[in-house]
Amino acid sequence: MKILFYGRLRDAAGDTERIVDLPADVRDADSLRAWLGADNPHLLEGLRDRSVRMIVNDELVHGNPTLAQGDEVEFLSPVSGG
Amino acid sequence: MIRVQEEPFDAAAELALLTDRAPQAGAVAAFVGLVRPESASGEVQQLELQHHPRFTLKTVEEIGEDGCARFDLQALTIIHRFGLLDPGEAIVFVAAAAEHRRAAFEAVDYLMDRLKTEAAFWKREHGPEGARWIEARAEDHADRRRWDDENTA
Repeated sequence: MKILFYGRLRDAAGDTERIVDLPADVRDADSLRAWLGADNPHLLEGLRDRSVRMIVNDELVHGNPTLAQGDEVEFLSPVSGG
Repeated sequence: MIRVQEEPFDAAAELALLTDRAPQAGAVAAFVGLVRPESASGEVQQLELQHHPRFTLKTVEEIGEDGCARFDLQALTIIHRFGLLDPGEAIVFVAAAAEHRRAAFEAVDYLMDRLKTEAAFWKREHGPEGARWIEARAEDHADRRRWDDENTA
């Protein structure tokens, strides 16, 4: 799975993108956030901010979508605006 | 015509192109947003605008479409830059052509209020003491809300 971060989340994540192998028990957005933030409380808090949006395979998604290993997942920090 | 690009734009040339696209227009209004050398947080050496390769354009296009639907426009241009910009550089250009001036003025005002709060950019100001993330100001949100309060015809 390819994961990308936009905006302030990059600081918490320490990178702009990463390729990961999902553990078997990570199957949806909630569990992905928990897994990504497991050793990084700052990132966990950031990912759980309700104004952070998610794009999965180039589509904006809401709620807790199911995720698969081959998906591309993007986390968008709240925008600064133009 | 809506573009998100890294390169600088020529506002005067874009204004002429827009006017050419609206031969029936009686009014053309335009706005240019610039990088200020100083913000509330201090000196600005560079403004960094991060964007998403596809989603950012979608957000700007959607705002433009709403502008065309709400105001009876004959032509519209929005150009928004991303990247590292210096103080004094132009960041954004919004111009609208309409039959009469009220629609042209209000459309540009409306579009800027939408862009300032909703366009998918992430901005950092780079100053002498490092970089700081920028959020839309309370004033930007208040300006944006003005358009929700108005009765739509």
